[in-house]
Amino acid sequence: MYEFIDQFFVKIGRRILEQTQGWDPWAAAAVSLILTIVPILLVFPTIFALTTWAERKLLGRIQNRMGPNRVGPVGLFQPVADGIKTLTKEDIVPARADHFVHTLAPILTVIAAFLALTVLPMGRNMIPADLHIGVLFFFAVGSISEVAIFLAGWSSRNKYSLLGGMRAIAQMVSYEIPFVLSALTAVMIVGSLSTVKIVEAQTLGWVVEDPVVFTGFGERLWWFLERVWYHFGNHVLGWHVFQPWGFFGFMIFFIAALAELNRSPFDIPEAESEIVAGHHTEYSGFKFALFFMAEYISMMAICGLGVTLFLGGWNGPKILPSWGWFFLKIFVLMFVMIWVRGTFPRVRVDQLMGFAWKLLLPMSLLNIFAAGAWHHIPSRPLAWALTAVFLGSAYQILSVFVAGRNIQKRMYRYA
Amino acid sequence: MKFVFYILATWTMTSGLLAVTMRNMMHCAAALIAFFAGIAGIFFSLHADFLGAVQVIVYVGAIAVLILFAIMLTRNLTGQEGVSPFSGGAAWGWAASLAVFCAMYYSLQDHPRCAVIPEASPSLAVDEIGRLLMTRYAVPFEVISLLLTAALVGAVVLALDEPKNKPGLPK
Repeated sequence: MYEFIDQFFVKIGRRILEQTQGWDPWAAAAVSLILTIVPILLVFPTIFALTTWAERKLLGRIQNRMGPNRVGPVGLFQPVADGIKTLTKEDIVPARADHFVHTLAPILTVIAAFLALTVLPMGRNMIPADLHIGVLFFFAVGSISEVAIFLAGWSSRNKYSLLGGMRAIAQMVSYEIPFVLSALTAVMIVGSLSTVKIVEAQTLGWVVEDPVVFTGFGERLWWFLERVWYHFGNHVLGWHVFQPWGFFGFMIFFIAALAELNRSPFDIPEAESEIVAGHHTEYSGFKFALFFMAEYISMMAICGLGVTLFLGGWNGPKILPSWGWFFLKIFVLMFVMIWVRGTFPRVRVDQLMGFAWKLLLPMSLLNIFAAGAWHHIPSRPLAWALTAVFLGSAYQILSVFVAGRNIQKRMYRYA
Repeated sequence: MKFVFYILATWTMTSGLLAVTMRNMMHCAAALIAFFAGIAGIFFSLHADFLGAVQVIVYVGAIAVLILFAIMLTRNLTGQEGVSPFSGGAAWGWAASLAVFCAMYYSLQDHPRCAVIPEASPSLAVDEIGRLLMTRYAVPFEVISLLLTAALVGAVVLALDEPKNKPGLPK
């Protein structure tokens, strides 16, 4: 039964592909392409619509108000209404804007966001494109969206757009280094750039020996509990986040991901109080909707990469199918991102840069050393203790003496 | 496969030509990005996935962004004030590029490595590249990184050219 639910979509895909056996190879290739593309284009935009609703609801809850509640039950059809509104809006292009680049930029961002999804294993045997350089491909695609955001800011011929684009580029370039270096640790430990292999490596090979004869109820219960614990250990404790380098790596990855996504508290490229809306100030209607969608799709993709690299991917106790675990973990990460948005104030530009270069970058470099040590120390408990002490003290020293050097006690003066 | 190569080659050549002939500097930079993407596509079509991805990361993600920054910091931002791409010595440039093309063409024409196109080219694995960089090519690799560090230090020295303790700046 579990196997059936777990492999349901995989089997449907294989069944359809079997039908194309005797076909023209081009037609068969087209069918397999459609089978890969259509689910992505159906599932993720749907989740995007629900995420916009959930984000507004959650932010409303955090700020002690209702959030959207007019369209449909508990405002669930709000995304539909928003979609119709943006699609029917007039597409306004500034008179002196560069029309071609102005149209190209939102398309490029959407393409980059969707391409990033293709290398994520969304369940056992469920991956759109199993590249052996999957992680690298993800970062390569991410760098395209950087250029697209800059082109958007430049082509609008608006000083706020341009400032937003410049801020976005400066921020993304600075945070890309800790972002990539923290992801590198998982690649180092697994020894492969393939996302599938990285997920498969995050299980422990514990096996339970079944006793030959049961002597009584107590032993039966003990055996059962032991099996449950081993199952839990196999599918949960093997996640990279439960190892010191993985924990620090995941933390750096998540913080840098917030900056890469231009999300709060690092949303200075689109700071409303300073530069209107940053690079998409001059975008309206459908083009704005594309930017909006790309932002949320890349949020899902980056959360998906975090899940794949550090949170065990689709691994989990067999109470949920593998794809269920993957999407559940993505939703949890996205919830944390929304929560952060609702609770943290926006950082200043100098704080942003200082944080990246003085804390995240040295931490991620030291984390690479820790991962190397983890690989070479044969005894696991010893490796765990040593790397934990090393990284913990490094974090303390860096945060107090390097990154936090100029922080003084705040003095409030009332006029 | 040849079909794909011709599409990619046309794309790369066209965008490369556009990058050196267009008047608007920003458009040139965009065409250059398209050119880099075309090169990456050629790597992918040759089954050199790693090199293709690195091409995109390094050239589109880093070099192109650097060029965009350089244009923004040096020229007028709008990029409207176009200058002709052809200077007085254009003829010399044409002659030199023609000479380079002829030299490359004649030297590569009969080269044994270019004649054989294996059916399924063996993809050089990432770990193999890494091993070669750490053993056989360790010295050139380190020399190049030293060069880059020197360039970085030089850029910092140039940028630090301003007097300290500027009046009016918060500390």
